[in-house]
Amino acid sequence: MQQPVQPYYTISASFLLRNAGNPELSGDENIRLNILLDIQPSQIHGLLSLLNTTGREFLFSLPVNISADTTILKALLPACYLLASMDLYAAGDAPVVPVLGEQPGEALQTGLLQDYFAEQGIAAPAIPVFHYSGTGVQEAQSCSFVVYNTITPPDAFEPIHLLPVIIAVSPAPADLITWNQLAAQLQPCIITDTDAILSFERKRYETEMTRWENRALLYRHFLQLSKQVQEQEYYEVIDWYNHEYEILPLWYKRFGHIIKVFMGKRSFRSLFSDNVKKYKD
Amino acid sequence: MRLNPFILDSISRIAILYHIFYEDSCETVCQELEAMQQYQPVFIFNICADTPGKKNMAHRLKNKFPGCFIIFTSNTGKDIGAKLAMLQLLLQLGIDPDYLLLLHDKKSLQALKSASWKNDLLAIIQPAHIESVWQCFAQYSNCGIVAAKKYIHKEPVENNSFTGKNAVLLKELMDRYHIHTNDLSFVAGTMFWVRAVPLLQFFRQYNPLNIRKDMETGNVIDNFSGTITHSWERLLSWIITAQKLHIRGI
Repeated sequence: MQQPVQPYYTISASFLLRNAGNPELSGDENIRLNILLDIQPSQIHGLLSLLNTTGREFLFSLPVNISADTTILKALLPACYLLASMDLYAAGDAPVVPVLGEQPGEALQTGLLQDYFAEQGIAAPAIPVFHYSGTGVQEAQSCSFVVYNTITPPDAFEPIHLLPVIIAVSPAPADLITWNQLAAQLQPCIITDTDAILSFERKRYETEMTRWENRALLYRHFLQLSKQVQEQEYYEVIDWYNHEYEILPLWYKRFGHIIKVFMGKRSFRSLFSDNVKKYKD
Repeated sequence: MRLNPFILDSISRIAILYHIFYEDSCETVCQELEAMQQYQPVFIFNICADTPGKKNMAHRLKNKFPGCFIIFTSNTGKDIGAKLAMLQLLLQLGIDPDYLLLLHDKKSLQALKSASWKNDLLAIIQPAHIESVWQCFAQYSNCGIVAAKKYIHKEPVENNSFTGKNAVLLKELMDRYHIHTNDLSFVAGTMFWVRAVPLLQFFRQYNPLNIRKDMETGNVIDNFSGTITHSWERLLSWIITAQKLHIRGI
């Protein structure tokens, strides 16, 4: 069993912004992007608008230097959360935010990102760490990373069997046309591991099933809740009636009924018999 | 219905923030917003991350409203939390609209009046009423919010203290965020037009996501006890009334 996979091709945010307005950006919508967030917080607005116009699916990754710099990372956290929330792959469940470094062993601050995401209701973002200097397929937290360079031709690697698959080209292409050509040349990735495919599909199916089950539970909860709320409202009305009307002396209430008859709001005969219709429909 | 060009001139930019929670809302949302497309607003949608079929929903919205922004967020702070996340996105985008329209796919299934509540609130985007909305803003410079008259409520106060279920939280939050107002009107249901400048000015000072993180998760209600979420339902209006602007009903 073989299955083509659309990988995420790494492209730096600064490169994207330099190419804003370039028609090549809206080229093949099937080429998904892994955006390396190598820009300052003040440049985020440009990136968000650009991503919306390209129509391409994306995830984003952090360069090690930013993930290690607490000040910049803190300033970028809201943008990171929004980028993860715009990511269709995760769609708000468990985003993948890879950290990309040059060499293994570089200092990281993944805790800050994890804590911020947790505060916003994302319990367990996957933050795999990959390196450009690594060879072969790097795997971490159900995510694969492959670096292609001039020494390793596109077909030099073992089939990739974890998702999502992220591809980087080193050195990065200097212009968008070359980048698009390379991305087209390197796709599609072929997954040959049947178990991995089945397991991935099963997980997706189970996640959606769980959502539907939770919805059913939610509607049941609404039913219970509506009984409670309506019971409360009923007692509030009774309470209001008791305080506003029932508390009045009997003679006053009886006088009120006579006034109703004069006003045409109650039938005269109903004052003397319970078997007569009191009010007009 | 086409706008009077004089009124249209005064509207340079609108942003519509719409939160979707229910799995069957997408088509209704598309219909509701159809009439708004002529004003070329910036559409921002938030789809609850728990909503089944959310990816298909996102594709449908992208097709219907090209260029719209879509985020998926957890069910934190109900529609109020979602609106805060969308406000954060609006700020990050660097868009400076003149007016914001806050909406959501309200159902309030627990409430007796659930069927009519949303329809009443949505009067503000019905073609027959929309000109009245612009006229309110154009005619009254102190008009900060326009909403359905029926749902402009007043928070109960006795001897300068709140008496409702959210009393303690309201006092605490108003002190923390320096929101001081004598006009305690608010839009119950949080669907309204609002002048963007005073609202965004507040949220530039206080990050919306930092406010959102303290809100309750799940489908909280304030029928039995107070909640931070429902307190912010009031505070979103009071941010405006605290700046000497008023809520007008249509």
